[in-house]
Amino acid sequence: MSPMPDSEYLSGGQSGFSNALLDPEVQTPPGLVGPDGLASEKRFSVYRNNVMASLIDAMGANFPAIKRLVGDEFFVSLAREFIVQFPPTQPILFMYGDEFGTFLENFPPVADFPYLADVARVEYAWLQSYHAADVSPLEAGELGNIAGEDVGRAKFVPHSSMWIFRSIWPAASLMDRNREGADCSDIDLSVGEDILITRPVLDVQTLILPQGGFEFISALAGGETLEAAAGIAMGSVENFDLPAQISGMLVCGAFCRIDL
Amino acid sequence: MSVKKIAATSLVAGAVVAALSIASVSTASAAAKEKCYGVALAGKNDCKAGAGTTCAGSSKVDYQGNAFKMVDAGTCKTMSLPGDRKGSLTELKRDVPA
Repeated sequence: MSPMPDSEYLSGGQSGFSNALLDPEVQTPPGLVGPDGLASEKRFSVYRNNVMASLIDAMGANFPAIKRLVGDEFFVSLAREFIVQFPPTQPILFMYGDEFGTFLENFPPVADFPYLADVARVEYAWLQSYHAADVSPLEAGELGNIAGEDVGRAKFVPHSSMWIFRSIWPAASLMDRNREGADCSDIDLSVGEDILITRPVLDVQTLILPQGGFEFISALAGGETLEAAAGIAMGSVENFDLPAQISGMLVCGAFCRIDL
Repeated sequence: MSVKKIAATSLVAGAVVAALSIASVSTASAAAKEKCYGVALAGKNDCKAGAGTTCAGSSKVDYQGNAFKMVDAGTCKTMSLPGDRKGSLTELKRDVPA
């Protein structure tokens, strides 16, 4: 019986194999031979092509709005370049593409479309929210049960599906319209959006926050008390509507629990 | 407790009372949706679950009985569709491609 290959040999062989998959310049890994004892170059090329094609499909499934914004043909080139630079580091495909926003920000061919990076970040967050653990959102009654003199001290625990983000671009509108296949010509690219993503029950909601909402909800999510968060928001915008913001955060399911 | 502190506390307490009295606040689930089978046009069924899943946009025919779309809760069964079809909260045997 031949001895088991030692683990160093094995891991060296595996990384050589996977590196060769994404780089056509690299030769077929040594030891990969057909029945005739010769290197299986064609067979390895088929496998290499399947890996790239399925990862491009995965990127298209995870970023449908980006795909529509840049067009199918360009998206394939874009995804290919991303995959080579940022190969998957874990096996779950819906979690693939975390760095796509950063990649788009720094990829010279899309420098004229600077909003793409934030649209990609919103799409990625949308998908993670979709797959987040199911948790019941905070019931309005729970807040109502707290005595008036204590309610200012309340802290709010963020829901597992919530994500908050400030974009200098209308990133949420661009994502929503492109996912629906709708016309975007009336979207004003000079208007930024404060974006809140939640999934209180089955459906992911993409909300554009009113003035002060980003400061208020970010402060609460960061562990500030209700009174402190209200103070921060009131200090950042004029005419901050605290009752409307509190009811808004309850309706959208941004939080799941109160800690006193 | 300083006057300022009392003012802030009562402001927040008042805001909470006002927030809870806004009629639309029941909870997040008020805006609930339901899965409605047999109403989606071909290729427009829901389940936008990303890569590694196979369901989204995969329905082959209009009103396919085993494909769903998310609709506002309570509206699914009242939907009337061409050819005397109705929406259903469970999968249907009709309009299923071979």
